[in-house]
Amino acid sequence: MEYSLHQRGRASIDFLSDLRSLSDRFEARTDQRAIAAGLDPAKLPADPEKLQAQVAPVLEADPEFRVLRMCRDWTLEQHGQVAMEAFDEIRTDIEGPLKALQAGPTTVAYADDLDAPDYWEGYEFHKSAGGWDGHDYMGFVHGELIHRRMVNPSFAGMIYAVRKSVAEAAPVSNPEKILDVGCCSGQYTQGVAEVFPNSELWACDLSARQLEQAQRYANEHDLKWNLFQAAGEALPLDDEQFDLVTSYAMFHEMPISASHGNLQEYLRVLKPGAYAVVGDVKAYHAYNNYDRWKADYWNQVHGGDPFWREYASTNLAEIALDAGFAEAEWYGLGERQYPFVLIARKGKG
Amino acid sequence: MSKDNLRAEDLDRLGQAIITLAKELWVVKDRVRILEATLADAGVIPPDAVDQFQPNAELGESLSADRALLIEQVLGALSTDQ
Repeated sequence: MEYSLHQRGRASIDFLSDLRSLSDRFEARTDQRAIAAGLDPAKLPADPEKLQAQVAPVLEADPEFRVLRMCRDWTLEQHGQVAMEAFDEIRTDIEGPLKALQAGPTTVAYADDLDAPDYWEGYEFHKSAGGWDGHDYMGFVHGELIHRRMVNPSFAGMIYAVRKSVAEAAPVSNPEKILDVGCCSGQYTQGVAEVFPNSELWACDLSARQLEQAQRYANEHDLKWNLFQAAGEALPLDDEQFDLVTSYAMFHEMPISASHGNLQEYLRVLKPGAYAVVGDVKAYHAYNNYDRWKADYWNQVHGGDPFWREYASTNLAEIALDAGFAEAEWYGLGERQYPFVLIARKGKG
Repeated sequence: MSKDNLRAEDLDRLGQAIITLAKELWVVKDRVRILEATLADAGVIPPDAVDQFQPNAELGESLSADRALLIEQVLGALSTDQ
């Protein structure tokens, strides 16, 4: 949807985006100094707690590292507030068109009495003010203003291609019916729809505000998605009806017990012989121990992601097999091994 | 934000960064006030023209370069001894 920010919102968002990307250059320099100071990845411990104890003090003694951390803290803690203020400057111009896009072929079925899990309720993910539902247009604020305008530039504009690569890894052709769990504002769902344009697409999330942004995107592009509000571990769906159940970047936001519950539900709603495909962040075992420290420090310790370490340290293929899948593998895509994908097949019996 | 990002030994550089920012902010405030007053006096722009204005590609690139320079100056002052 076409829209224009007012001067204050536009300039503030541009400033946050540039501060993040320009301060990121400190990372390579502080890495070099840390390695030169004797932090040999081959000699570092693998255990995340021991890694933190050994590596963090070395980096935190470096002034550039402290500035890098301050800039990342500031942008994380400001981006939600800045984006909400930018939206409110243009609310009178944009609210009508946004509401109009909620009419169309794509529908949202709201849960009557949502029993939100503890890991989701009231938590401000990634230190972001407003969390998932903290504004009446949080889907637009998060999906458009934060993700597309502030986060995507930090990933060299590749964030949507990376998401789509998970759908492309699904070992299926022309699935009749697909479910995307934890669809948020529909950014991965877009990739799924592009890879499987002829499939019937269902998608769910706990956040009503994010589902509404997914609905707006789909209606704007004349897509018919069946959106509904639910937790992945309690799907209000009949057994054995999907040819593919997929999810992106949700499992690291919840405890492994919830991942297990999700996979049990995916198994239940999949047809015999069908696949679950789950994409998420890189597993710790795929990093050298210095880069493992960085992933753990910037996300688990300092990034507002309380379940990151638990997810990245657990073999998701074993969780899938334990949940009842007949086959499962978990591996990184491409040379960078990012993202990691779980490919799990339900037995035919 | 964590309370231990900056340490006592960072305070001098922090002061330099704040002064750098204040100087650049004043340059901009001075320029904006002169521009808006001049244009309003001449009846050139309506009251909400600045809020509603959307930069074209050329101006957008120019603003981006100026913004990067400002951030570089602040980060430079914060992270290195002057």
